[in-house]
Amino acid sequence: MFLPRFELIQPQSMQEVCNLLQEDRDQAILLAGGTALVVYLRYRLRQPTRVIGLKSLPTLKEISLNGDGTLVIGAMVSLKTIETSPLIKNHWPALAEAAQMVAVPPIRQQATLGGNLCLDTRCIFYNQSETFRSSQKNCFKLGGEVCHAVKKGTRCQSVCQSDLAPVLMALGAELKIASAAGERIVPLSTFFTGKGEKPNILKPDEILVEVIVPPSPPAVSVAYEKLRVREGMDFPMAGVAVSVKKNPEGYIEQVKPILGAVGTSPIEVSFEGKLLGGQTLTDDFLQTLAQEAMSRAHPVGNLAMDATYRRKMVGVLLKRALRRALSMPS
Amino acid sequence: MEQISIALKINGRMEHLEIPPQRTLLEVIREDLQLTGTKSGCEDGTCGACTVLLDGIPVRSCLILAAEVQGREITTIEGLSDGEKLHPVQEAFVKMGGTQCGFCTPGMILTTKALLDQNPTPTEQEIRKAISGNLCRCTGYTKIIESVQSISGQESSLKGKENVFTDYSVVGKRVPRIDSVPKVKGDAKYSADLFLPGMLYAKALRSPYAHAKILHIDTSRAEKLPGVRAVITGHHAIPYRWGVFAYTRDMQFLPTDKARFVGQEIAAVAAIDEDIAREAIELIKVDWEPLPYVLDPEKALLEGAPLIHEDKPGNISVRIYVNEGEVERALSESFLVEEGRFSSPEENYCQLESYAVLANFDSTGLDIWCPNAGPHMKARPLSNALGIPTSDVRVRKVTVGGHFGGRSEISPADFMAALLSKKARRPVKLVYTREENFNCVRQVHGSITECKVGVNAEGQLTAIDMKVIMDGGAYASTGPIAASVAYIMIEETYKFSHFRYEAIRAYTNKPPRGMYPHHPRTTYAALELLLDRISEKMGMDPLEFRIKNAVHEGYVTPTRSIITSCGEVETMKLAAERAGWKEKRGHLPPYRGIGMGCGAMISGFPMGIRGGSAAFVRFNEDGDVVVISGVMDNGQGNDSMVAQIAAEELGISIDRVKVITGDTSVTPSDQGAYSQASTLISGGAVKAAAADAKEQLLEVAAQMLEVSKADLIAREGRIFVKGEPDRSVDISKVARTALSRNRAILGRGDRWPEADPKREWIKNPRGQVASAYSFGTAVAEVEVDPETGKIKLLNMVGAHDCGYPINPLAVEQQIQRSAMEAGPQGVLMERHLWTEKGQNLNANFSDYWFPLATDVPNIEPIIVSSNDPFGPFGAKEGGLSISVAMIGAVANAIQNAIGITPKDFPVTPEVVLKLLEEKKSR
Ligand SMILES: Cc1cc2nc3c(=O)[nH]c(=O)nc-3n(C[C@H](O)[C@H](O)[C@H](O)COP(=O)(O)OP(=O)(O)OC[C@H]3O[C@@H](n4cnc5c(N)ncnc54)[C@H](O)[C@@H]3O)c2cc1C
Ligand code: SF4
Ligand code: FES
Ligand code: FES
Repeated sequence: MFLPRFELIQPQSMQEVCNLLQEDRDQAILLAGGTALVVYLRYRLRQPTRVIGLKSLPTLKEISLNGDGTLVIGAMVSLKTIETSPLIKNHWPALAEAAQMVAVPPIRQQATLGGNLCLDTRCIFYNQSETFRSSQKNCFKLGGEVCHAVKKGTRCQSVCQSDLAPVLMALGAELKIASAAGERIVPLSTFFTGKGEKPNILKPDEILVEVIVPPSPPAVSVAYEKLRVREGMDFPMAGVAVSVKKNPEGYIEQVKPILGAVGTSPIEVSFEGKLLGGQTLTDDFLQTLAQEAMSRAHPVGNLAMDATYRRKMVGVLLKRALRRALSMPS
Repeated sequence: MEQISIALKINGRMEHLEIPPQRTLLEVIREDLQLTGTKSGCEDGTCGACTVLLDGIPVRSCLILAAEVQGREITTIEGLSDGEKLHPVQEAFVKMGGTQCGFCTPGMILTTKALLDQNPTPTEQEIRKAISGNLCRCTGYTKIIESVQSISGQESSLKGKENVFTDYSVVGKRVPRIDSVPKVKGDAKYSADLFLPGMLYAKALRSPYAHAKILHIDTSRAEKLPGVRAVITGHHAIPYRWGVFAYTRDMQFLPTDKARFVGQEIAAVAAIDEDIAREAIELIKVDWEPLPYVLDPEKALLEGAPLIHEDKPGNISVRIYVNEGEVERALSESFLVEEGRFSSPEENYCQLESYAVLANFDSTGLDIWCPNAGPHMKARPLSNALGIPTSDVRVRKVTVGGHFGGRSEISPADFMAALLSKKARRPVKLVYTREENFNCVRQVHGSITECKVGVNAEGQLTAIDMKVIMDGGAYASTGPIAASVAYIMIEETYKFSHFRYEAIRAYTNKPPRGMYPHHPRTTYAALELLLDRISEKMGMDPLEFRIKNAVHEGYVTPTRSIITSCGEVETMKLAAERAGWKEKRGHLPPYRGIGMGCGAMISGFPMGIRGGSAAFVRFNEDGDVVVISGVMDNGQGNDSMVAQIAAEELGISIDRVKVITGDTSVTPSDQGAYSQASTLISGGAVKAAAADAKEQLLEVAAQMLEVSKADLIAREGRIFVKGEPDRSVDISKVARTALSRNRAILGRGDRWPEADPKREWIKNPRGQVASAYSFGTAVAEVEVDPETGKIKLLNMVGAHDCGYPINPLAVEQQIQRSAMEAGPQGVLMERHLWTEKGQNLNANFSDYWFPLATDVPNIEPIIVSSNDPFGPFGAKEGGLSISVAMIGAVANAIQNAIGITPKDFPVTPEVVLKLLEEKKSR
């Protein structure tokens, strides 16, 4: 089926992008790799009058390392590049791994980091063709007053299924956002609103420019585990990124899990209190953490897998990610 | 509409185009440049059929705007070969059998080429990962992997396990299929690849309700939309109901009374472009009166359930009842009885080609191109529905991107395109979206099976009692056959005398369900799982147990079919041996399991006056041969099969044979690719026609060589005097000589199934059911992750008795395809999900878990030959027994790994975890 009609603009500079966005705040949409957006257009989930293509902006495609060891990745860097960059593989291996778990190779070739973080929240009742949607009432995400997934629900609980968001949050990443009014830098952890209807804080005239990843502190390692049925193609049904810190004696000092795909945004779990005095990796300790993580997950019946099962898997993924992170050289 | 000018470099050539800005690269390539080798299989980024190379790197052209890739180097499949000379990757796919229906092939080849450019010696895992974004429904991926390995000089894990046959000179030889070169080059034309001058584009209006009365349809606004050339509803059609049998006529192609499932076609539009057709659809106004509906087959059978067809009380579409011997008594006297209840939702065919039709109705009649399993089987109902003579319907030959049973019947799409074309007097093309292919052609039955199996103290099966409820969807389709195959396969697989089988196919307000090799999956799973439980309890090895209960030549089944050639025990022994059964069963670590399953298939059941096939074999003046047969090739290689049979019979090489098949205006009648009869019946007809032509040839040669006809033999392209290698004449010379003596060499032949014509699916389920029976055994090994419940397939082996392999390569392909269909698809992954209102929630490849190359191991095919007395060169059928057997093998491997019986299919991770919890709580 053809895409809806729109005007395509391919600006050559950031300034131009910002001006265009300002001019056309509500009718324009940014097109990065298109692997998510083109499907949305085809399903008429988006009907912009104007599409702003970002492919001709070379500055957005750069990866650089600052003097202080900070990694800066342009929003238009492809997931393939992230997956294969020696710099990222050596210093932020969890990021490269998570990128490699997205979709399938040709999609990673086209898909970008910015698009992955700005990926709209998903739901099996929403990510459907126009024909499908026309035979049900508009739900909250479409401006209506019902939720098909959660009967009696009062808000949209569509799922943040970005694979990179949890990992980047575990890595303490920040985002540079630009608009005609200037630039701002926000921690990734504040980027997501938790609202299925409007999952991130970007204003209509803003663009995500780059992702800033701080140097990994000594003795900290991060790992990501993803739940999927097939070894490829599938969006995460749940995902857990964990960052752990060991003290010189080998005791675990800090554990920071981020749960992906079990809520409207990545969920940061805090284990304050449970780690006092340093801990070793006993089964009991793991079970306590897993239990806590599971209780924080908010899966609902809006993906192709059972919500109870997905919640249970959060515990399993957490344990696995933690074990793996601890076994990594930091 | 606003247009922009772009310049694209495609296959080394600059193309200047005016396009609307929203046009995708795929649309430009296929529609504007008509480079139709690039396929469209989903348009949501999931199938990989649209793969092209962008600066040498594989990308999905359906997700790229053409305007965004100006100035970049684009390569499509058409740009890969150097004129006639194939690229090494294309050559490898031809030689190694890496292409079957061919629909995934262009994308697969381009992905592979790019992989090898970067990594000339990839490992098997690297290849699997690289092609994991390219779905293939036909190959089980094994031969694709082997094609790639053959280029890089890597060894396949199956090396040294080739099936070799040496009895004939052409038949039995592993030859590249004749359809493979056009497929690897992107030349093969599928229905959606065809364009005719003045062609219109069609779209259907579909029901948003599972069950609703149609009060009124107002098409006036749609008709007035500029660019619209025809609008049709059921009111434009003559009264006609389609049914496979006279007693199952329940389907109006465009219903005028009510809609019975979400997605049912109600009206259709033809317009000068797709956008206008789509807009026009939105202008059609239907007044609906929603009715109560029922989605669950068990609920549909309850009293008071909403009635789907007013003349079908109780929503019973079909009831099959077989009761042979004394089941109750035999069970009560059995040494051991095992029982269980098993259930599964519906599956889908997922032919990679979405349904597409091109119809052209003019003053000479209707020409129509559409995916089909038998053109003659479409011509008849189409002529009835349109009220024109059958000979005015010309169902034309076209390449078909997969069938698997789901292309068996006429589709409302055929009718809509034909009627629109009749009304508009222009060619009309209707291409289904992936979602429509999921919902609006056919699906595979869901089912619930209750089964009891009894055995005596010696481990001999005594009785089987099976009750099946099938979720048939809204129409009868091939219901009587679909509800029968399970019991027929079961009574042919194992020996037992007391058999009760009841199958009730219920109508529900869901899309209609058609034919499938292993449907319903719960029947075979039930039987095989219970057999393993029995053998375990009896302390018998499941292999020994199965050997003991296997059927043999001359065995008579409870419903009175006599088994002819039978290599079942050999398939059991070979599959077990190759899979390391003895070493592994009972000796694997926890959560690893190995399992076995067996199956049978029937070939050539009675189909009345349309059950036979006829063929012609014609010699050209240069001595080349043309085979004209009604046989249809849906990807399994039937064209190649008839060419090989003709070549063998005539003593010539296969490259001298051309085939014309599957075209009702040209080819004689054929039963179609149903009932696994193509080799047996259609191949038999071609063999007879070739023999007839050879006789004529020998007569002329006898005169030329001045010997008697009986002293001659045809081989290697010449006719020899027997025992005198120096006295011979070239066949082309004989053909020319014949012509010069005013004689054209033209052979004819036909073949009919040898089955009991009185046997009837419902009324008389007794008597010889088929002309031949094939058998198979599968072994699978799995590993279960006890924390997530995920199952990994470690090994799959399928041994199939095909009678005799006309082409071992093609038989292996069928074994592998069948294994994939039953194991990963049928047992592990595939099912549909529904909303409460009867909408299909996962009519796409994102949420319908079609296994990827990374989800399966290499599948080892073993060919057993039992030389069937009826089949051409002893051949029966090419591999379908494995699509039954592998169900049992994988289900039993899981049972073996976790020590508890899976009851719900597919056995997804969630299901496994529930089973493990159930086991713990015991
Ligand atoms: C078959 C398939 C499987 C997939 N599997 C996965 C998976 O496993 N895991 C996963 O995480 N994702 C998956 N995806 C989703 C998607 O492909 C990726 O998330 C991808 O990274 C999106 O990037 P893109 O560049 O293609 O984004 P686009 O499609 O171009 O854009 C996505 C959205 O982000 C916005 N956007 C893009 N860039 C910016 C920017 N710089 N500033 C502001 N807004 C911006 C766009 O306006 C749009 O709304 C899958 C997609 C497909 C088709
Ligand atoms: S969660 Fe509910 S409101 Fe949100 S998209 Fe899904 S159905 Fe709509
Ligand atoms: S058509 Fe592009 S991926 Fe299926
Ligand atoms: S050959 Fe791959 S889909 Fe048919």
